[in-house]
Amino acid sequence: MSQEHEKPVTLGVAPGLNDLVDQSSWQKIQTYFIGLVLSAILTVAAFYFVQSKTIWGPSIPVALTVLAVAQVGVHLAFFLHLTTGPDNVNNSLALAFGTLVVALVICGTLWIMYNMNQNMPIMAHMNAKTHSLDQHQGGTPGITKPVAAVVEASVAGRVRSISCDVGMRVTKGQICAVIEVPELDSEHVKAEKLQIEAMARIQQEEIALSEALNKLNQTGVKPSRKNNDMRKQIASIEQRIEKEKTNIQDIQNQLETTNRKIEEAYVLAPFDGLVKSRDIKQGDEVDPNSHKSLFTFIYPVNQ
Amino acid sequence: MTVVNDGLSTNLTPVEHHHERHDDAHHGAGAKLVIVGYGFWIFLLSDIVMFSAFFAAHAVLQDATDGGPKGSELLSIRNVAYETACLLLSSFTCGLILVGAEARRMAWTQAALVATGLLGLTFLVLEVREFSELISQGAGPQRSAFLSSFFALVGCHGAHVSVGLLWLGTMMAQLFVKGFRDDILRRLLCFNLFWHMLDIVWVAVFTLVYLVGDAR
Repeated sequence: MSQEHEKPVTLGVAPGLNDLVDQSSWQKIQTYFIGLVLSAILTVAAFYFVQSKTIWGPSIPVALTVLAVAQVGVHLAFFLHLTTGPDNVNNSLALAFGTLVVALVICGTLWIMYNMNQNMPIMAHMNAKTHSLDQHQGGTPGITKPVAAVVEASVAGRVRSISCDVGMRVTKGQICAVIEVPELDSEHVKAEKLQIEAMARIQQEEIALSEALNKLNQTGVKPSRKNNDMRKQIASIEQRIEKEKTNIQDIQNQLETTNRKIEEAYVLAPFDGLVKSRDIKQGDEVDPNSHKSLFTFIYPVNQ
Repeated sequence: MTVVNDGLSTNLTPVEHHHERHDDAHHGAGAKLVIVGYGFWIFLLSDIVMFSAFFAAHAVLQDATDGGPKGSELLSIRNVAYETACLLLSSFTCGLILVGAEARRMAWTQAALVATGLLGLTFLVLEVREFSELISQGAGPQRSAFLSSFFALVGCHGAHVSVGLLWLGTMMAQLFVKGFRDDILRRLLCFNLFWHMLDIVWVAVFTLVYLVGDAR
């Protein structure tokens, strides 16, 4: 048979097979081994870049993608023996078409979804005429319906917990975050303790008073020396009770102030709507003087 | 050397057997090998197109954590490094299967099959352990759209590896019973292609899901 009959085979070579006829097993193993070493180098490089932070952060995904594409190339060349030779045309064309479809699916999806993500909040934003909280509380429905509200901190402290996140539907007054104010908490505890102590003292005095009144009844209502002493005693007990009562009034006032402050430490949703953005995370320090936004709320677009 | 039992010999037969080879390549086992291999290649490419849809979904949803854990808080780079090492080595041993088959060396081929199978199994065990750990932390596929897409993509690859392992076991038995017959050699070629494809998909998975996810 002549050479012309040797190569008119139009089928080419099967994918995954080496088209070099005269290779020994050892040479084939060498090809696989080169592929293994190259892939290992590219893999180690990828893991190294992520772990070591030697390259500029935002460029890491690009670098990783380049390394991955290179490694796929190594796999195709050394493991699947894909070449650019004429007997490999069918395999390469199929691969090229597959790559095209993959690129269309991935790029198309990212493109469309990115645009949609961009458009959704922007629409709500463009309707927003005002960004102030006041307009929402009792804002008149109608011509200038407020659309968005920025909530700022009303006390200084650390964010203890967060219960609202972007995209969540909230109702008016729903607690979205709790700010921890350490000195406020200890003040509150101290006042509560004082209140309990004062109440215990009042109770004791009242017991003493009722005992004294009993004794007075037993000795009779007629004025006598003994009788007189008792009356004085009772009067002083009554005085002390009166004093404790005013004391308790003070403590209660103090408790009310701390309670009010603790309520201010709750970040509440100003109206029924959606959380558009969350600008704090757990553990953040917040301060009313900085006028930084904690949350932005919007009315649902369809409302 | 006979023509009939010579599936992979299109590339191997010494020069003096030209006429048999010529017939072979046109009508016989060699032609069939090329056609079967090409058909399977097309199937694998369409499988990769399916994977690309999962990749696209994951890329779109990777920030949709619903207040739950992000990828960088969940995924262990060390674990994925072990998984990658297993799969890359298994790709190499998978190549040795084909070299052994082309040389008609039974012990060698079977040993390479066993090595590939063990490495694949180790990969699968590591992956199942990772999944069960995530689920026990409350980071299962129901937690957020991000985790749904993560489990769908990585789980789909894991399912392919499981199917590949079943196929590998079947091939070992068939090779043992039937020897290096043409049909067996064609199946070995297809298995080889399948396994290399899994490693290529894994390169994309560990890069885009684990490493880029960790760097974000």
